[in-house]
Amino acid sequence: MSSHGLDRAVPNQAAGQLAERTVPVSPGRRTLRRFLRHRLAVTGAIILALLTLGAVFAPIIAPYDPNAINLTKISQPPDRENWLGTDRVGRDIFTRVLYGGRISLSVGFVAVGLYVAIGFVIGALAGYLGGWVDNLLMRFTEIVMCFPTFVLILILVGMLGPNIGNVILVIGLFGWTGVARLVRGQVLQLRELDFVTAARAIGGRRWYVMVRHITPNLVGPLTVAASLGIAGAILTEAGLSFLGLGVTQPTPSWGSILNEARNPATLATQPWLWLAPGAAISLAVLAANFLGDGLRDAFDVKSRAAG
Amino acid sequence: MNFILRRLVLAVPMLLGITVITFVIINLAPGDPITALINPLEMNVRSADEIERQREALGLNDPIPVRYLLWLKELATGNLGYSLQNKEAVRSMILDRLPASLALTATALTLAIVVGVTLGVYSALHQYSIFDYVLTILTFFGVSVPVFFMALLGMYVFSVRLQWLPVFGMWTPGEPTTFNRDLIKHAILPVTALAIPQIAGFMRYARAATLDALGADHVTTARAKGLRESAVLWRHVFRTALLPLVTIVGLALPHVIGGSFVIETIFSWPGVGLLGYTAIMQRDYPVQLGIALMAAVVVLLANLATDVVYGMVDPRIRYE
Repeated sequence: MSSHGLDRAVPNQAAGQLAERTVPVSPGRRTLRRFLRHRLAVTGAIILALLTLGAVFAPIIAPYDPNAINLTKISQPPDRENWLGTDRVGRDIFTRVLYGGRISLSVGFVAVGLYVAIGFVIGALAGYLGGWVDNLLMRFTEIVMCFPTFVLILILVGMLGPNIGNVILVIGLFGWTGVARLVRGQVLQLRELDFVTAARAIGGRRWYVMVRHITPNLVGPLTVAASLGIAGAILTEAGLSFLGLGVTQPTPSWGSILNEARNPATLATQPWLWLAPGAAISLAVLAANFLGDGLRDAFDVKSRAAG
Repeated sequence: MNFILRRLVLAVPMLLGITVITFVIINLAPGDPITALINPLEMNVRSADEIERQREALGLNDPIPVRYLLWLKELATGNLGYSLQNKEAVRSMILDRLPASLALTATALTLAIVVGVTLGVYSALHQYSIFDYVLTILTFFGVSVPVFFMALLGMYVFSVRLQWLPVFGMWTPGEPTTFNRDLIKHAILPVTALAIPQIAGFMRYARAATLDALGADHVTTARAKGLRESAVLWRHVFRTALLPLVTIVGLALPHVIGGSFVIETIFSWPGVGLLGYTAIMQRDYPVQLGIALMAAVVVLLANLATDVVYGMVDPRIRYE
């Protein structure tokens, strides 16, 4: 579940480049496609920004207190006062979805920041040092990849106790494998290029070359991996909280609000309770995936020249 | 054969690596890790003194590396420990529920490969058509909408509103537990929910790989020498494009297993995923870790198998 986008998305890049020269297309169609692609990326960025703003300014925007219990309005369908209805203790769903974004999005951003850092260090060391270091680190990466990440995350969060800090830590600890392999591959390519040879020829030390000449070239791929990773991390947090192992009541997160829908009666009679948070998760993940895909095109020098 | 042999040899340290990681996690778990290896029923009837002697004999007072080796020895005999909840052997608990999980995941994976690859190839052959656009957008939804939300939507629409499909379990109570209509009806929703993100993944891959192959020089050559288009496609495009699919299936496997935890829990599908979820909620560590270990070994073996198959069908790799 978690790193889905990351694993699969890579071949698309090559396809995008090749498409331009293999199939004859009218310039109008090509423009339309490029426009649409970047439109999607822009739309993704706007949606993510809106969701983030909604989460940050939740106390100002939200009409109610997220944990305020109102026993006169239990399980009400959406109406003028409660736009998305209320839950079984009369809390306003719209308010809780806004506040839920705080947890879900910050888990996404922080966990991905953590594992991009881990993946970068491991991948860069393996790629740049090569030899037995590379061998050791990559075999270790492959071993970690054998475990179904989501299952390990479930188990560890279960052991450490369900709270937001543990969720972030555990996603960070197991999410880095894709990034490490990506960075290693890039470093292997980069270190053979002339400008790196030149930097070494003028007497640049290993670390100088690594930091000044190789790292800046990794910013593009890392940004892409991070935005696709945010999509994965939001999904993982939602899955955990949905199963009751992430963020728990009364703190709202998109997944934990959905957790209530595991009760068959709620599922059947109060769809407003789970449709809104489910849509919020889908929207956020979709936006992050659009953004990542668009960024990949944008960072891709060859396709930029062609367009 | 060099390549295949190398992979086989490499699998041994990787298998050990998997056990090391599992052992580290076991030691993170609260409580005494190896008590799980002693049958708890026996433990109750023994005095503290006797247990202490048993601990010494089992090596529980030894340093961690020694304990790891002892644990590994037990593991080699097939002893995965005992459940803290119902004192059953973890291995037999897993084996009992394995068929249900295999039925669910294998069906979902097969469905995903067939549908995903067909749609992806079709999309690539009709690049820039309306169909292609719609499918590309749909794949985004496929990888973005969480499986459990998809499952809830499916349940709400098909089970609650339309009442076409059952909600829980594998069979209606009282029905024979064989391969029958009842089982198929119960399987439709969980299999579909589990397959959708994978369909999207395989579609993306198949589309990109087919486009890639269509532009390859050897395909141009095949066309230039006057080969029929169908021959070009089958012999030159699909063969190159779809070979790496073997590897992609291996990479997708951990995601399918992870997804089956969620799906089995939602639909009360009596498989290993539901067993694992229950064990996590009950803090039954031996069961959890037995499942994690088994899943990792299955993934390792599957990857090994895909590598071997790949080595056999692709001469470029075999003689590398």
